[in-house]
Amino acid sequence: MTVDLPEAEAEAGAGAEAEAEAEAEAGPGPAQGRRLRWLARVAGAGALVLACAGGLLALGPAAPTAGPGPGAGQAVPAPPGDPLAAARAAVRDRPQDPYAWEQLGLADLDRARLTLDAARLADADQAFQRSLVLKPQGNYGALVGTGMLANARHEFAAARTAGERATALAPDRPTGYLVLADAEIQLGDYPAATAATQRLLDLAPTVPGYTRAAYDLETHGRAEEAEIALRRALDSAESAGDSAFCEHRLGDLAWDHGRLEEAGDHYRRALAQAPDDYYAQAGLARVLAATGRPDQAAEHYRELVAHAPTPQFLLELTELQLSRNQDASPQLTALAAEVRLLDASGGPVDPVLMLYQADHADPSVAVRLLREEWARRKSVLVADALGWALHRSGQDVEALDLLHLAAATNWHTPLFAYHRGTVEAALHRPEAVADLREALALNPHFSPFDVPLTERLLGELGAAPQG
Amino acid sequence: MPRSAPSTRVARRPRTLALAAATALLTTAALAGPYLGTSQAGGHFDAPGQIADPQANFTDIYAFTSPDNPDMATVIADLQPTQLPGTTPAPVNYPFATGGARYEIHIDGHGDGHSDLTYRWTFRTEDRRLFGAGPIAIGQVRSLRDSGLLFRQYYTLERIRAGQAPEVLVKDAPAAPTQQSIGQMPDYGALRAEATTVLPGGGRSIATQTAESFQADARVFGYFILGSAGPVPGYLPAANPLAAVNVSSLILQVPKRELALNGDPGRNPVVGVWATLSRPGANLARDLRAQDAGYRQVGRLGNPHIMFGLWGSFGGIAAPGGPEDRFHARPADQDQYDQDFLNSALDPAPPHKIEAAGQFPAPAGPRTDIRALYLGGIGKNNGAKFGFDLNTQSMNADTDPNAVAWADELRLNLTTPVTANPNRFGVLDGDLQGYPNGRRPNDMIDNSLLRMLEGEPGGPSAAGLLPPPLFDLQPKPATDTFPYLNLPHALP
Repeated sequence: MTVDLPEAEAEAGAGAEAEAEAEAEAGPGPAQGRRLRWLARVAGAGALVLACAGGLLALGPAAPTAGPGPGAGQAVPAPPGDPLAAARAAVRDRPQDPYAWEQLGLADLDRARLTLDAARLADADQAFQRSLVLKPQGNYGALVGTGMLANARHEFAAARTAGERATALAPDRPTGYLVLADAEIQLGDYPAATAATQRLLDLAPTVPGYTRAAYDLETHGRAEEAEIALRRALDSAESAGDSAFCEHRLGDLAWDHGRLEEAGDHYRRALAQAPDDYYAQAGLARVLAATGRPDQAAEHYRELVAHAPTPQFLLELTELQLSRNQDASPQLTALAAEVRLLDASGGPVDPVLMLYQADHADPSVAVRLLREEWARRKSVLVADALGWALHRSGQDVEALDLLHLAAATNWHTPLFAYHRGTVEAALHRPEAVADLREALALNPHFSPFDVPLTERLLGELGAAPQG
Repeated sequence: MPRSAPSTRVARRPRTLALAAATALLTTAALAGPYLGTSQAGGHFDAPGQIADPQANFTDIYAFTSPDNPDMATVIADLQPTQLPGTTPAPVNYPFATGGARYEIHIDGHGDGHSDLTYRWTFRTEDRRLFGAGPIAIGQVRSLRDSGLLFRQYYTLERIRAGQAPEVLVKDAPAAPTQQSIGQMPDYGALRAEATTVLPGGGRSIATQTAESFQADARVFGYFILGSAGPVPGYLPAANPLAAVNVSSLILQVPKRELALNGDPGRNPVVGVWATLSRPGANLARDLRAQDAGYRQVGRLGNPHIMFGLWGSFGGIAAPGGPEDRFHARPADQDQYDQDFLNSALDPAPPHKIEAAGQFPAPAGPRTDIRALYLGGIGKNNGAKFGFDLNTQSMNADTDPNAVAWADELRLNLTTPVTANPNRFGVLDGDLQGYPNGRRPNDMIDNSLLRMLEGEPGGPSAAGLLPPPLFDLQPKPATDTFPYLNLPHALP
């Protein structure tokens, strides 16, 4: 018989106690201290950082939320055990086994993916390094693990290197191509990204391959095909988390094309599978805001950012509040703090955070940071954000060059079209009207903050919004 | 086009509030570094990265003359290992793969690695649960038609003869659901009986959950992987956990004349059997809306323990870039062209590991007997050391001897009489109807395979090396009547 490692399941039931023990043993000191040291490494030491760290110590990692899913009163099947606790127990039993450490790193990574808890990334790093010390040669699992980790930290060049090494080491294993596909598409080498995605899909036509294929297709403006790919991913999903991911991505696709009801349905299905699917929670809030229930939306968002204050969620809440003339200062403060942390750390730059900076703070800072990111990678997302930041700093000619680069893959999103149309209008280009109309045609509710601006601008250009 | 006031409002905010709000909002998550925003996240780190595909994981293939009906042969494919039994408060669901995925049982009479006959199962799901989540049954389920059964799967079974169009044997036959609990499904046997489908032309098929039947010994596994008695750290614990878990099973019983080359088991007694799962693929260079799915084979199993027997490896320790990496995706008819694969059959790893552990000298190579065991069957003239013809396709009168190729198949001689008192160690101990002449659910293959790897019957026996099997830890033996496998384990 052939079985791939039933240990994770044999350990089912190792619960919080094992978790606490493992936490105590997993690193050189108590978790909080580790986190603080890691934080200091990552962020440098400014007064603000220390203040934030003080807050961290009080808060600890985010707990999963009891989501606003519709399945109230429905028992959702409990997972057969906690894979992270099982992986920690395995490492405790076999501290010299490189494979056990590699598995622990992967479990940490997966937990980070689901909880957005960065402490897990630091633990994953440690686990992969330990695995590589125990087995320096031919350690494919730890190698792809470090690549996945680099992608998670947005260190895409390092991820590409790991992916290239892994695929050279084992050309017929899928995970290396997954690392490579994620890295290349963010580095903006689109042909290489498609090639890696195709190889991944050929080796493993399941959730990881089809979700990445969907993203590749979407990036190239092939939204209907992206939907087909996501439905195939959903067909092959074998866990609630994977099903939820596919559902919320289908929701995002529907949202980008103005199909609000369908988007809401996908988000609800995602939350029925996985109540703490943050992207589905954000998506549902977005749909609520667009369908005349802004108070409910704000409540969802507040719940969400308490657990997952990512730039995207903070910015969506901010713009919802500003569009209703409500107080957005807590979110704006948090976003400003994130920008300062980022500036101090010199780390990878999130285009979404820079859209906040361009629209609601000092756009010249966004231009400076995005130029650094653009030197690192030529993604259309960076091109769009840099183009927009340049426009907000009054540099419209260069801005338009960047926004045309952002359009190079044919990715039709309301935001890209709105940005391009706005700059074209500033430069008195005739195509401004068509681009602004495209933004509204794709999704007339694409942003509570940007839609009124789009409509006003169309009015100023003497064009009716709907055309 | 500058925007209105928000940024100035930010500038005027009270500073004390600012810091408090920032610390309250900034959990570790915020400091994890940036995350891509919506409609930009799908190709990214938050997309699933777990490649494991349990639905494609075949654990065991069995092929044997039906002891309760010797004119029939039964093929069983077990998959999705280590399914934990559910309970009423913690329901489980282990569905078969859908979305066009093809479970196939292949039959090769010519011995060239090509399937002359394929049985293809494709499943669809009927899901009546709200938002497609939650338990699959409400209340007690006593029949597949009970309205409380909210998640149902149906399969279409096709028979494909090489070069001909598929014939549909049954359409929309019900699969038995995952056993929920003793309370919710008190008579799973009734559900399984209801899910038994009679095939045109004789034969029966079932898709059901069953109790894991594999007679395993964790201590013997140690020899394959480490070269000494186990248990193997991180693999199976000393107590056999397989005695308490379930699998999914595809059970197919068909007349022997249907399986045999040219419909004549007398002239052509030997068939090679293996199972595959293929999933729909896609070519990104063309429009997905206008292309047929190019199927990709993602799982495969013929002979038991091929990874253990040839390489002494399992998922976690296979050498990257080695022949293990290519095995699952490769059709059997291509085995003959993968030189690394053929070489490893001539030089299997476990005897070297056992010798290195000081246990037993490795037999001299090249191991043509092991190549025959996995890739040819037991024949007088193909390198096997038994000295007689038993289950190689060269025995088939209608086979072209020059076309016979090395391919991993579980080979079964359909004419070997059913043994009255089976010996679980099979052919090595004189029971010609046992492994490796096909495989019966109660065959104890670990010990037989190790003894053959250590040179039996061509050299001294390594039987003394092995601990006697711990039968008290084994799964309950399979029965002698269709469908042979035991009902799934259930909890209250």
